[in-house]
Amino acid sequence: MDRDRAIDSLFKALCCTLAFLGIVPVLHMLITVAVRGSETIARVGLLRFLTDVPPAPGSSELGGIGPAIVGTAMLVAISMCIGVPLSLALAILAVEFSESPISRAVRFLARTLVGIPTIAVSMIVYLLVVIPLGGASALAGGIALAIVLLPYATTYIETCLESVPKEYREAGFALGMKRLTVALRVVLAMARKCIAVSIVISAARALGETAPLLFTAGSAHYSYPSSLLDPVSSITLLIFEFGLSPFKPLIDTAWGAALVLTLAYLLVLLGVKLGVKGVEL
Amino acid sequence: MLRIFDPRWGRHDKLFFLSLLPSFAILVAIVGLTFATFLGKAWPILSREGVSFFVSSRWWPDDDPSKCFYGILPALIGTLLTSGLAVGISFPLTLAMVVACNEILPRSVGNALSTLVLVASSLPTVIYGLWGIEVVVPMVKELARYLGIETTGFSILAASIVLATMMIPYMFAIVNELYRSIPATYREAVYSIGARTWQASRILLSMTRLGLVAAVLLALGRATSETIVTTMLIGNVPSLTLNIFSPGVTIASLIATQFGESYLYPYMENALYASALVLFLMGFSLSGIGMYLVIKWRRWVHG
Repeated sequence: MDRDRAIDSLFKALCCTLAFLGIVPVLHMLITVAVRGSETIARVGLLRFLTDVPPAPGSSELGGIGPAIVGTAMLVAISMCIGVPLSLALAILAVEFSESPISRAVRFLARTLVGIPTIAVSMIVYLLVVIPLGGASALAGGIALAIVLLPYATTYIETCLESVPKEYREAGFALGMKRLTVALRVVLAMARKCIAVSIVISAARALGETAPLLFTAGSAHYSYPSSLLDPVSSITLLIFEFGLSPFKPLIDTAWGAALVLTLAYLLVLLGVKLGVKGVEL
Repeated sequence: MLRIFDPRWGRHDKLFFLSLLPSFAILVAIVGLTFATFLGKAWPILSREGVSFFVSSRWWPDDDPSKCFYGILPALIGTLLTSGLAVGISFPLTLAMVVACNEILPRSVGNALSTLVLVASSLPTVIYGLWGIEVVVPMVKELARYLGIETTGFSILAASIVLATMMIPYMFAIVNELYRSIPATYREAVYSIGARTWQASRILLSMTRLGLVAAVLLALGRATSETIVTTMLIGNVPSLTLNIFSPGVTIASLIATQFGESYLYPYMENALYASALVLFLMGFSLSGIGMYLVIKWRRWVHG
């Protein structure tokens, strides 16, 4: 029995050590982002960091990430304008018309689309949007992001619609409602909080993507865009490119941007957590 | 013939259905155009080079179409090596975390750990990449110097370590869900015959076997197509190597670094589209089998 107990203690110690080893890098990363990021932002000043242009390569000055923030806002907004109505319509097709073969086709194609690597989405949009338009643009980047988030948003919203019990739909039909009325007044109305959370999560996904923007958005880190067809920067692209640069001020700027991005994510997660708690049903 | 209309629907319902169809057409167009374009773009290089596209390690862009040659063997090997190593590192750690969370640690600590993992799994990959450059690359450099190898630190090993850090939260979420969905009666039975923690964990984990295989496949599928982290850390040198301390290249990082200039050389764009096609196929087969196993396991649990 003593041997057994010894093995057990050893096993527990080993498990806890390995679990600790697994979680330490993530903790270290979060702390590094907080420390390095706040150093940069403290040196530049928060307002200047959020509005100024980044330092030129080779200069010893620090700068801000203004164009990247504007670009990110544009890209996410475009992707949501395209992605949200599409995924809502697709989810309604998949759930409310589940007896039609189209419903199964929607589910299958959405699963297929998830499997396409995001870098491949970037190549496709480059070929089909960037080349015809004559250059990288916020519009092309937004389209790429919309394609990436479309299957996720569709699947999330499908789950929301499915969570509305069948009895409510039947009650609606029994009152003589048409499908359109049932879908709008019963299903969407009951699932509205869940759908809102799904949309926020999809927006967060669009916010954090880098690869779809590589060949589409244009990486204009130093200039503010004036139209949808101008090339734009994004926070993620800026971190990717500045992080690999040999210049210290650029790397510092990347860390500041990483802190801004992480805080935005934590804010979204917190909001989702509160939102989920408040979901009725 | 397929009937897309149910004959019982009224005219009003049919109109509603029709009004939603454009969204379906767009979805079909996206998926269809993607595959058509990739096949069309990949075909010239595949028919020109044949199998040697996959088994050659020469990546020779040249202005002269008769001289240029593209082989993706280094990228293929690099992809398999990097993602295999990453999943190999993260799998035991994930298992330990699942056991620690469910069997050993107090519930409050376990829940805190789960929340942290949830946060980690949703963070943008580019932040992992930046952290890798700052922390992991110098660590690998030191380790290599200790072993007597000169390197900048940007290497297959650095990419694998950061990928593993990313894969742990992802795999943890899958395995933890499976582990918690084991019916309570089994757990009670295992503990009631006097099993100790290590015996119980072993038995319960072995019950999720199918799920574990699925988690590994899904993680591999994700690791192979991960672009940003590998591009930032692997060093991007297209030479054939099995030395994990040397810089390498993966299919995704090859595309990320070369696609921008690919229009300058004949066939280079085609070579990159063909390698993306290879990436598709790898991803689809890995996550396809993985999802199939998860569904099969769920069915087994829920009867």
